[in-house]
Amino acid sequence: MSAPPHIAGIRPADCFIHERACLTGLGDGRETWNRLIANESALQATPVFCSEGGDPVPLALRQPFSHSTPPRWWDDLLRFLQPLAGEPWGRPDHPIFVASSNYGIDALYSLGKHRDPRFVPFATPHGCVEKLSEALGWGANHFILSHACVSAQLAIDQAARFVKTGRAERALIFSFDYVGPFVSAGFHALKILNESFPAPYRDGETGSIGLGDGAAYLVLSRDDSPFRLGPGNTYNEMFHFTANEPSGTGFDAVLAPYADKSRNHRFWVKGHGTGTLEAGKLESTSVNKNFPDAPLVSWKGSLGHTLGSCASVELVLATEAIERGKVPGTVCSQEPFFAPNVRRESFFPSDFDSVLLLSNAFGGAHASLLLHYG
Amino acid sequence: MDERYIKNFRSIELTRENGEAELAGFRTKLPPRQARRMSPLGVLVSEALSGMPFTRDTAILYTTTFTESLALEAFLGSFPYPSPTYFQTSIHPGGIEQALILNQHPVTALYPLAGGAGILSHALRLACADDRPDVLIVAGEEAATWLADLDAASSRTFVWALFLAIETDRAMGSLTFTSPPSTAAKPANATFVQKSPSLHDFGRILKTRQKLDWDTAAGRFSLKWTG
Repeated sequence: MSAPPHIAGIRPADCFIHERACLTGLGDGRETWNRLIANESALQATPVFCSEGGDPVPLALRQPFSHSTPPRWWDDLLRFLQPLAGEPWGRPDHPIFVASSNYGIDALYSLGKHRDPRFVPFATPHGCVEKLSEALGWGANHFILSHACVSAQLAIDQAARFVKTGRAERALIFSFDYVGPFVSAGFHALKILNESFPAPYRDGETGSIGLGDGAAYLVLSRDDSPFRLGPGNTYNEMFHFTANEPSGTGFDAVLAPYADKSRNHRFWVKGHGTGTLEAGKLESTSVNKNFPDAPLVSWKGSLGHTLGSCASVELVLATEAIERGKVPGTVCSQEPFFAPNVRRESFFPSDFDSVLLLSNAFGGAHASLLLHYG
Repeated sequence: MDERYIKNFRSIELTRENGEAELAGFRTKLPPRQARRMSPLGVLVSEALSGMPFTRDTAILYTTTFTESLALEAFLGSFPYPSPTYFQTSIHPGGIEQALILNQHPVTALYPLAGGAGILSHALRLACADDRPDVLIVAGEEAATWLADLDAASSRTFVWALFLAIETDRAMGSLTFTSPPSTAAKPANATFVQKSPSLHDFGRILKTRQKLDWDTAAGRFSLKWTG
C-alpha cells in the first residue's frame, strides 16, 4: 500500500489503536490484569543500589539488576518486540516513536563505576535505539522522545498527529523503562523513594513511590478498531524542578478542556497516582472538582511507577480491562482517600464509554488523553 | 510538502580557548542565586531564548543527544552518597527547564528529543509537521570530561534556537520538507549535501545563513534565506 498524500491543511482523520502489548513486574498485559484484579503487588523490598546493597525500597523488577552488556533488559525486549520485527517499521510511512525516561541509564551507571568502554553502546538513548533497530531490522525513521514520566504520552501525541494528517499510514509507539541504581538511588536521594510502600491517593501522614520495570507498544492507524483516540492535552508549569504549582493549575490545565466531552461521554479516569502526598492530593482533588462522577484509579501501588513508559503501559492495561470487562481499582491502597471519587474496588467498564488517561512528570509536566471504546 | 518560515534564530558556541570566561559573561546576565545552580547548557539556553518571540502555546522541540552531561558525571561521581541536586539537574530535559523555570514561563507543548546522527532531521521533521502557528526548536550540548573521552557526551558547548512559523510575514528564510526522496533527482546545485548536518554544524549553518539541501530516509530538507 502506498503512503497517503501529504496535503497541507488536511482535515485530521480519526486515529485508532490496533496491536498493543505491555510488560510489567507482574507479567504481560493479560497476566498483569489478572493479578491487579487479585490485588497483588509486584513491588518487593529491594536494596536501593540493587546488587550493591543499600536501604530497602519498593522495586518491581523483571530480572535482578546486573552490570552486564548487553543490559539485563536486552533479551526481554527482543522477545517482546518480535511481532514487530522487520519491514515496514521505520519506513517513512511507518515511523516509530520511541519513548523512555531511562533508556540506557543503567549502562551509564555501569560505565561510571567501571569506566569500561563496552558499556558505551548502551549508555545513551540513541545507542540503545540503534542497537534495537539493528537487531529488529527497523528502518531509520524513528523519533526518540524523553520527557521524564510523560515521555510515552508525548510519543502517542506525535504518532497520532502523523497518522491523523496522513503523514503516516501506521505509526508504532514503543516505550521501555527498566530500573537500576542510577534511578532508584536518585529518587531515594530526593526522599520520595523510601522503605514505605506506595498507597496512591491515601490521605496519610507520609507519601512515597515504588519503581517498576515497564515496556509497551501500540500501533496506530486510521483503520477502525474498538479503541479510538480522543483529544489529548499537555501542559508544563515551569514552576519548580520537582514540585507542582501549589494551587494545582497544571492538573486543571489538562482536565478542564474535557468539560464539553463530559456532557456527551461517560468516562472513568486512570490517574497518575504514584503515591506521593502533594501530587496525589492535587491530582485527585482536581479530577473530583472537574469530573465528580468519574471514578479515579491508580495501579502504581502494585506495579510501581514505570516512569517514562507509564502512559503506554497503563493505556494497554486499560484496554485489557475494557476487553476483560472489569477495571482494577486502586490496588494496594486504602481509605481515607484525598477525594471521594477515588475507587478502591474494581468496577465495570461497560458503565462508561471512555477512559481519561493522565500522567505527570518533573517540571510540573502534565498530559491527558481521552480513549473512546463505547 | 511541508514549509515553515524562519522568524528568528540565535546560535551560540563557547570557544575552546575562552569558553569559561564566555560562560561567566552569560551567567552575569542572570539572577545570581539561580545562575549559580544552572548548568552550562541551561545558561546558554537561557541566553538563546532571550528575545525569542515564543508564547505559552508555541510548540517547543528541545533537541539534544547527550543533555546535561556535566550533571550526569557529577551525579555518578557522588555515589555512594548520591546527590539529589545533580540527579534532578541530570534529568532530560533539564537545560530548557532551567531556562523556563527561571522566567516562570509555562508552555503547553514541550517535546524533548534525544537521538544520534539523525536527530537534527527528526526535530526539523516534527517542526514541519506541527500544525500549531509557531514552533521553536532549541538544540544544544555541553562539553563533558570523561564521558566525552568515551564518546558518551559532547566535547563542545553550544546552543541554537530556531523560531519557525506557518505564516510568511517578515520571514528571514524558510525550511521545506518534501517526501519521498527516492524518485526525486538530486538537485544540481552547490548547496546539496548527502548527509544530515549534525546539531553542532547546524548552529554554524544558521549563524552564517548558509543555504542547504539534504536528503534523509524520510525526505528532502531545504533551508533557504531571503535577501
